[in-house]
Amino acid sequence: MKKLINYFHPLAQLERARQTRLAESNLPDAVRELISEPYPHPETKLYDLEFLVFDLETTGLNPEQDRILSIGFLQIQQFRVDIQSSSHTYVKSDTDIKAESAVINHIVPEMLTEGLSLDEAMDNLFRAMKGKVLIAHGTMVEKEFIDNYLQQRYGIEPLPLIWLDTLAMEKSLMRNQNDTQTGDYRLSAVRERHNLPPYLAHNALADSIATGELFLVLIKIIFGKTIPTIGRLIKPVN
Amino acid sequence: MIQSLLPNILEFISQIDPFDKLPSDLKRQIAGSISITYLARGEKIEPQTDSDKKYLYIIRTGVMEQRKPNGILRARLGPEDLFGFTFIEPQSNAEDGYTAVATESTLLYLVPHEQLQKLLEDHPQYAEHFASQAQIRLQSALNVVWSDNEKGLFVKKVSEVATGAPAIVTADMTIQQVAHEMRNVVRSSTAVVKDKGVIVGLITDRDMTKRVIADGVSINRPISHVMTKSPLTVGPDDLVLKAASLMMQNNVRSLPVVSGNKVHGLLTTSHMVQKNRVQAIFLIDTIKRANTVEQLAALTPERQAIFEALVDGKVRSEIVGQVMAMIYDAYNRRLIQMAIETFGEPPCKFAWVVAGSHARNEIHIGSDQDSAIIMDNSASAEDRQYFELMSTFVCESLAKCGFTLCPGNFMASNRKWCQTLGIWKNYYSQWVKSPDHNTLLNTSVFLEVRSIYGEASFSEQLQNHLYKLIRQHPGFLTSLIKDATSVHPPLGIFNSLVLEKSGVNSNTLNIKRYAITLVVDLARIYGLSVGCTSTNTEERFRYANQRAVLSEDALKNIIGAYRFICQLRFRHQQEALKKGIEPNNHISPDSFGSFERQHLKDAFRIIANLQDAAKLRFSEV
Repeated sequence: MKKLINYFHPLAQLERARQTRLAESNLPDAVRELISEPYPHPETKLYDLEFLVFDLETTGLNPEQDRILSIGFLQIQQFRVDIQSSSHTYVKSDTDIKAESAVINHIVPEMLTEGLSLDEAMDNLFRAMKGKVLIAHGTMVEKEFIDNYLQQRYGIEPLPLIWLDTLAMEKSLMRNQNDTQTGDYRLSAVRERHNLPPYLAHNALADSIATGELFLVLIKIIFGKTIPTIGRLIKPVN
Repeated sequence: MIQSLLPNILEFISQIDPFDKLPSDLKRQIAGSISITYLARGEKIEPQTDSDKKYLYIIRTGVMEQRKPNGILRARLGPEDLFGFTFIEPQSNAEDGYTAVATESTLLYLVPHEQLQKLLEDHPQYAEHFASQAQIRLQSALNVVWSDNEKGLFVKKVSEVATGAPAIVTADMTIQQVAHEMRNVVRSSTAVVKDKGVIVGLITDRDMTKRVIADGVSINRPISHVMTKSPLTVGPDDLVLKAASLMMQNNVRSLPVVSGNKVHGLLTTSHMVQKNRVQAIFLIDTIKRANTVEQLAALTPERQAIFEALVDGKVRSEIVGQVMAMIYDAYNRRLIQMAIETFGEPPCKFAWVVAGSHARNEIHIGSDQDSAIIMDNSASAEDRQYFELMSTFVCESLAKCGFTLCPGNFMASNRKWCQTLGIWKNYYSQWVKSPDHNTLLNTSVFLEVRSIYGEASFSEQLQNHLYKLIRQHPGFLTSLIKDATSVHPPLGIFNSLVLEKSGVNSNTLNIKRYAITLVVDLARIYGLSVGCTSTNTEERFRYANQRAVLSEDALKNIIGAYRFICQLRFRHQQEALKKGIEPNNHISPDSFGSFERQHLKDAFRIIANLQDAAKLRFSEV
């Protein structure tokens, strides 16, 4: 019975999808490498897993029109946000930056002339993502931009990656049951609710750190002092 | 590049002692090495056994408590507090074992020990800020305060001030040859006399007037005939303060600056006036020449200005205490002289003694009066009346000059403390032979006495009597230690409150009651136990160390702690003076920054540890 449940566990499904995709012949090397490692068993303790928290700063929310300005990421290991593993990259571009986005994230064109090309920046990100569980606040944006990049650049379908969304975790808390639609779930607001210090926002790395800390807090709130298995976090969908 | 994007973390650690002492590139390196963890309420870390890596912990938000293995609360820590210093370098006797528990959800920054160690190896000049031993941290705290500001005039070295050059002559030269050398060759008011390369004497132009011209001595006699033999000298590294007090005590106007038999220069009073305005000397001189109590009382603002200058100059607390005591003595002596001018010559021998902090030369701006009179055993009832007149005048006049009357009435104007030497000896015998709590409280002030006027031998006899008694009755020290350890230092400053050991919080820190007095009491017990004749707190500890009852480590710890809390009190008093408020001992925790809170915690812990050690050592008889 347990075997059966495990078979249909989302992680097991992701693992099978990973193996299928790995068999595809048209995968570019960077992507093949990214999904080359087996996914963790549902019984694996979170403490033994490595996570990659990341954040993209973009010119807007539509991946087909907007583009990535900067990428920040860092690892969580042994349940510690590790600043030493952090990375921040500006993405070079020839086109102009919209004034309204520059207001939000303080990224001005001069910064981008120093940056990496989109391919280089994404390859860096993929290398860091390998073997990690991915964390972002509101994974939708990050996921769509990555999917769009893979589609545009290589003509391939979205990858079966393991995602954790701190925004969805926050919404799942009992205290938020009544206002999942109306509440303020911006990273800074959520952090404030959990008594985390105010951080400078809208910098891809600062937001990654802020999200990483929030993740640690949410795990403690949801599961108490015993750190759970990954299988309990990525729940089978009914 | 990456590090410049860590403003949140960098900004936070930049405001915390000791990281704020580091240059910005090192701060960035440290920020880049941090890892962050989150503890739910009740979660624990045990730094000493915690896995392979060791860390210095910084609380970003939340509250943690450190507890000793036996469960006793060691410290409560809030945002910006650090712990885990122990692991920077393993020390056998560093911070004792403890666990740290989050009492509120806590976001912790972890700085890897490895990273810090590497960084401090490359930049050893910052290492002491991170030292695991509290004493080293306290010492570095004092140093930082000193170096941040321009050093005060008293702590300048003699070599920085003394630019004059004396004539150097030999003992077989004639008086005239020497005068010629002084007048025409070197153009100096002073000549150092050497014999076979060794400094043997000194002669000044004033000496020439007094000893040669006035006495009609032949100018063909050798200079050795009229020179001052074995003259006072100062070293180039001595403090100006030391030179100033030498000059005052000996009434000389110039001091050769020498090391060994090498003459470096000449320090003169006019020199110091031009270069340094050593105000205390002028004040003491003015006090000596004052003719009325009103004139003396008018000098109070000057006394406060000197105190402020000393504290501003970050002069070591021991020296501040000594300078202020010198000034206090000058007032006191002048008033005794005025009393004698008014009431006539004393009918018998007597000593005016000061007690308590005044005897120990640990005077601050808020010090009150503690005094006594020891009369000759022959004193009659009428004689006593004379001294009552004198003491009433002196004590009341001192009060007019800003030295508040003793609230416990431990003053010479109290009949009880104006007695013959014989009665004083009886007092001591009673106290030492049958000590009880109340008499101890009332008399500990007289366990230190210092004569400032009259028969100095009276107070010496009294002290010798006391030491002899203590040797014969070791139970006295047991009572003292019981008394001295009945008050505990607080655990630390937490938020805006002083966390006391009982768990009760106070709004202000009474730094005298909860810190300074505790150290002074411990010093007294250690000092008396080994028969130390000095009453100075630091010297007592040093003597106890020489007699092997106080370890080198404990000595450094307690002296560092004592200097730090004294400095804190001085600064508090100085701020009160500047605001025009009466200085007191109650400090609001709001006035403490991260720096003070960290170091106060260290100091409190050191005092508590020494209390424990003293209890063990002296309770068993």
